[in-house]
Order: sequence, then C-alpha cells, then structure tokens
Amino acid sequence: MTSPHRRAPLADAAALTPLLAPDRANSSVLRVALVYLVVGLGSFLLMGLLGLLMRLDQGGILVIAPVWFYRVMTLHGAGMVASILLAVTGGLAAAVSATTRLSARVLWIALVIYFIGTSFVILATLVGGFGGGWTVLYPLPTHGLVWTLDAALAMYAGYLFIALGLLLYCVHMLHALARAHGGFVRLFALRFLFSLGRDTRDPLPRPPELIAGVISLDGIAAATAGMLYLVPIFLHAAGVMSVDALYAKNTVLLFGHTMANLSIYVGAGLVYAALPAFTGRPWRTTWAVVCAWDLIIILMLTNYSHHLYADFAQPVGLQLLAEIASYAVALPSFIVTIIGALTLIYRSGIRWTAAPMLLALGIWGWVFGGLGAVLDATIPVNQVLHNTMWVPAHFHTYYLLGAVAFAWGYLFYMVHELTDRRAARASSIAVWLYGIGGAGFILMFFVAGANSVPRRYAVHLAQWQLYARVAVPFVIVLALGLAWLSWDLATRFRAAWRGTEGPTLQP
Amino acid sequence: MGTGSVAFVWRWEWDPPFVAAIVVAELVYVVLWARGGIGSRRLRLTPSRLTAFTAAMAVMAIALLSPIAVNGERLLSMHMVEHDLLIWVVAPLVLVGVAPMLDRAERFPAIVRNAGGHLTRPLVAWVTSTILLWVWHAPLAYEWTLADETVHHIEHLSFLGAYLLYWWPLIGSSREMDSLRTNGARVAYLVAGMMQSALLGALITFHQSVLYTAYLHVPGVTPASALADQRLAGALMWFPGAIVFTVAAALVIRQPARLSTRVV
Repeated sequence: MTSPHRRAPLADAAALTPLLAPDRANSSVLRVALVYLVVGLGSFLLMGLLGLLMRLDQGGILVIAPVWFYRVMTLHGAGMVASILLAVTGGLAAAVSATTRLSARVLWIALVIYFIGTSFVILATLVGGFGGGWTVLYPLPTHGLVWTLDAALAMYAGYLFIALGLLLYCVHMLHALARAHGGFVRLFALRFLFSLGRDTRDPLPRPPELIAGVISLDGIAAATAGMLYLVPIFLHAAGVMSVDALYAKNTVLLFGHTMANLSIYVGAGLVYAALPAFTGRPWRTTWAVVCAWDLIIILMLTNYSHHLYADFAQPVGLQLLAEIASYAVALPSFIVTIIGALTLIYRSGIRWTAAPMLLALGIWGWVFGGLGAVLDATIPVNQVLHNTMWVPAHFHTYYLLGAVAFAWGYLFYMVHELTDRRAARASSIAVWLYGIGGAGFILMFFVAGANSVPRRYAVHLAQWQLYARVAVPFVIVLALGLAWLSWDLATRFRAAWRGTEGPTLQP
Repeated sequence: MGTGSVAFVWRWEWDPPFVAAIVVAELVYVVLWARGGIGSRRLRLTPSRLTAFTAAMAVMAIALLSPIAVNGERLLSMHMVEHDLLIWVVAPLVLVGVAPMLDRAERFPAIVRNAGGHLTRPLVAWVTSTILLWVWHAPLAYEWTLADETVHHIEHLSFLGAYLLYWWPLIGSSREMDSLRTNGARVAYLVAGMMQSALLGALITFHQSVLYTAYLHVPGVTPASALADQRLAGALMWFPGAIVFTVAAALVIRQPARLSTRVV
C-alpha cells in the first residue's frame, strides 16, 4: 500500500512500526498521549503570551511593574519547562506504546500529579508573588523581600510534585521497556555496543525504545536530584537543618537543567519515531545510534555545571567535566540524528507536509540552539556571555524551534495517522511563519546577548530596547503560524481521538 | 509559623449527643453490613467496607471531639484541620462504606432518586462543594460560625454533605451508573476539585491581614500571631489537599478496559 506521506512506495515500508498496535492494545495509551500533547502545547501557547508581555515590557512598548515582571518571568520559565516536557513525554509514550505495553492508568496518575505541581507554581507566583526565577537558587528565594517564605515553599512544593510526576512516568517507562526487552543489558544494547556491533545475538531495541530508556534513566536521576534539593529546603524552612548553598546549587541545576535537556532529547526521540513514516524507510538501530544515545545517559547528567562557572566555590574538576560533557553531549547525538535523518530523507520521495516540515524545523532549531549552548559552555566565552541575553537565546532556540517543533510535528503525525486526513495545505505556510517568526524572535536575543544586554532585567535601558522592539513583529508572525496550526489540529482532533479505536470493522 | 502565645489545650470535649450519634451510626452500619445491605437482596460487603466506615467515624470523632476541635475555637489552623478531616478523609471513607448499599437506587422513593441523581451529577456536585467551601470561609459567614455553636454544626454538616456529593461520582456510583466513565473525565474532575480548594488555601495563606477578626479577641493573641496562624491555616487547606488528591488519583483512576472491536 502506498503511504499517504510519500509520492512512491519504497521497499522498506513493510518494516515500519505502525502507531496503533495491530491488536489495538495501545489505544488507551494513545489517548493519554494525545492529552499530554494537547495540554502541553496548549500551556506552551499560554506561557508564550506571558513571554510576549515580557518582550513588550523590555521594548518599552508596554510597562509592567517590575514586581510583576519577575512573577511573570518565573511563571513563564517554570511553565515552559513543564509544558514542553509534558508534550514530548506524551509523544514518546505514544511512540513506544505499539511495541511496549504501557499502563494508561499510570500515565493518567502522573498527569494529575503534574497538574497539582503546576497549580502550586501558578498560585505561588500569581497569588503569592514569588518571583525568584525558575531555577530558585538557594538561599535567596527563601529571603525574598517581596514574597513570603510561604510563597517560596509553595513554589518548591510545585517543583516537588512535578518531579514526582516525572519520576512516576520514568520509572514506569523504564520498567515497561526493561520487561519488554528482557532486561537493561538488552534495552541499552550493551553487548552490541561493547562488541563494537559484532555481537548481534540480542534483538536490538528500536531507536525510540532505546531513547525512551535513556531518557527515563536520566529522568529518574533528575527527579531524584530534585528531591535531594527540595527535601532539605523544606527541612531548612522547618528549622531542622541548614543547607549548604553549593550543594543546593548543584542539585537544583542537576534537577532543572537535566529536565530542560530531557525535553529536547525526548523531542529528538520523536523524530526517530515519526520520520520513517514519511520517508518509508525504518530508522535502524546501528552501532553509532546505540553509542551516541548510551553516552547521553552519563553526559546529560554531568554538563549542568556549566551554569556554575561563575561560582568560585565550585570544584575546578567539575567545571572542566562540565565543559567536556557540554561538548560531548551535543555532538554524537547531533551527528547521528542529523546524518540518520538526511539518509532517510534523501531520495525518499517524501511529501513535505506540515508534520515532516515541523520535524525538520526541530532539527534545525536543535542544532543552532545546541551550538549556542556549546559556545556558552566554553569557559572564556561563558565569563562574557553567561549573564547576557545569549543564554535565553540558546535555550529559546532549542526549545521553541527544537523541542516544541518536534512536539507539534509529532502531534500532526499522530493526528494524520489516526485519521488518515492530511493537514490543510495552508499548514505548510503556517510552518514557514512559525520558522521565520521564531528565527527572527530568537535572533534578537542572540544579537542583544552579543551586545552584552543583561538577562533577567525588568527595566531595560533605552539603548537595549531596540532588540525587543524588533523581536515583537516576529513574535506576531510566529503567533499567526501557531494559531493556524492549532486551528488545523482542532478541526481534526475529534476524529483522531476516535481513531485510537482503530478502523471500523465490517461485520 | 507559630501559633503566637495561645497555649494548646490537650483535652477532649465529650459532647454526649454527638458521641451517641457516632455510636448509633456505627452500630446501624455494623448491622446493615452483617445482613448484607438494606433490602431483601443480600450484598456481599467486604470487611474493607466495614473498616472504611469505622475509620470514618473514628476520624470524625477526632475532628470534632479531640483537642483539634477544642483548639479550633481559638486557632484558625486547628479549625482548618477539622475541615480537612471532614472533607478529605471522613466523606470519602463514609462513601466507601455505604456506597454499595445506596447504589441500589430502586429501593428509594422516586423523589429521593431524582434529587440524588441530580445532585450527584459531576458538575452539580463540584459547584455545590465549591460554593459551600468558599461561602463558609467568607469572613462574615465564618465569624458567624465562631459566634453561634448551632451555625458551627450546620457548617460542618454542610461540608460533610457537600463533599459526600463531590466524592460520589468518583467513589460512590457503580461502574454501570458511572457518570465519569473515562479516565480523562475523572482526571478533569479531580483537578477541578483540587484547583478550587488550592486557590482558596492560597488566598488565605497569602492574605496580608487577619481575615477573621474574632480570633484577635482570643486572650493572648496578637495581630502578628493571628496572621501567622492564618498563614498556617491556609497552608493546611492547600498542601495536604495536594496529597489527598494524589492518593485519590491513584485509587480512582482505572486501568482502561481494552476497547472493544467496533462493528457497523
């Protein structure tokens, strides 16, 4: 059968894994996944509006009281990390569910815990007035002059619940994958890896399964770091113990930075799951794929320290490790994913509809955001750029044009697979608007950073305002693109929901 | 967050009519449980149902007779613990105990069935519980409960009633009569219930002046200690609620049955 995604059938098409398992065993998981994606991307749009408010303020177009600016900034940052992580983890659950038996019940419970966490964050910022930033570097947030200790504790409680939700998701995912593959050695293809690809006795995991395993392991580590940070903070607030500030900084960044990193790598996992459907070629588990992704298990947990270069008390060994890990974490996965994707696409007859365009945009954003991050992770450069707009530039690139584009692309792919209704033609134009608007918006962050405009400032000097003013029209273009994509999805979503039940059978 | 200079009183308040009511309720339940329900058709009621109902009565006694209740007249935080226990512990446990008996709807008169059916619709139950929780925490209504013991009893009774309604769609109704059939609906209902109580808790926690001025007249209380106690009270509504809803999610969200083959 000719795939609707391609112009001509290819020989490997039969080897592709369908989204819906043949016995429809994953129907309920696909529904939860759709909810994760829609709630995550819907929250992303709301948080985006807060971002626009901040840029309008920084451009001097709209004046927000500084105390509110910092609340909005905190909510925007925390909300974006949580929203995007929710969306991509939903996509990943869908991607592995056809071959791995996941529990929809566990995924729903994780969603409730996530909602409880986000409600704490929203109330702590908007009602409690917490504005310490999403990384909440101890001990400053507990001594806010504008907010009370209760607000800080509510914020921490929000993070604790979000960490618990992530932990539940990751533990369940890892357990299900290990069970499906007969243990961790097989899940991570370790015999294949250490024999340099010669030992092929064990069946190899599909790339999305391998990536899901890697991500889950790191997610468990990140959530554990979150607990190791948050529980002592609560005990400190109760007067039971004091917390070492350097310990707190390391654990909060191991938690927060890894969570942010997870989003992009989970997003990349979605490319491995969806792109083969458009090219008609399966993404094979090669030695390079296994090596690159297994390395990420360690590297993603060691690169966070590049946010602590300015902390003189941080051991030099950790600083050097951070620099090496920051370079190393990006390059193997970049190379393997980009070369793999290009190999799949080359002469495949791919039909460039919205979904593959969004996935390609995501790769573009990931690469450029990653390069910005690698530059920032270089110690001499970091000392000049770290407290400038360069940092929001790099993470906005790999979030907005990377992880978010992957999530939109995967949602379009899911809706198409479940409905067999193609995205509207205008959606391709909307993707261009998304790409151009997003790139212009981000470019202004990079230019501002290169010109030493500081980050995290509510009030911008007149000579800094130009960058934000130029960014605003690009944000409007971006918003138009996203509004159209949302509308296109909304018109087909009900059919996709029904489509999780599979095709209607004739008696 | 301290409670100022108000000394915590460690005594129980043995209110004979209330103690009698709890004992009678427990005895009636034990008899019904032993004979397998209300009507002629016998149900198999598991020991866990009896345990749940007995636990509900025990927690109700702790909430309304123990030092929690005694200090609740002088400390908002203790009064909030009473409310927490009633709406988040007693109400769901009572439902676990009695739901199978009440689910035999045909035994009740039509008017009761209709009213029950209407009041336990998820939207109605959520709105009712939300309105009652918020109205009773409005300063005017709350101060009234402190001034008049009868109103105080009505407040507690209405909390219990409202939250019996709230938990019914999640715990009470049988799978066949389930108004929240899908997990998505259950999650939305839980989140809606959690959000409104969390918002109220947050508003009380972060309010910068004393909301219920009657507490300022308690001997030994200063404005600062009353405000600190109010912050603790808000947090006691907010934070434990999050744990209750997490546990509730784990208990009421079901493993979906595999979707049946659709045939046209």
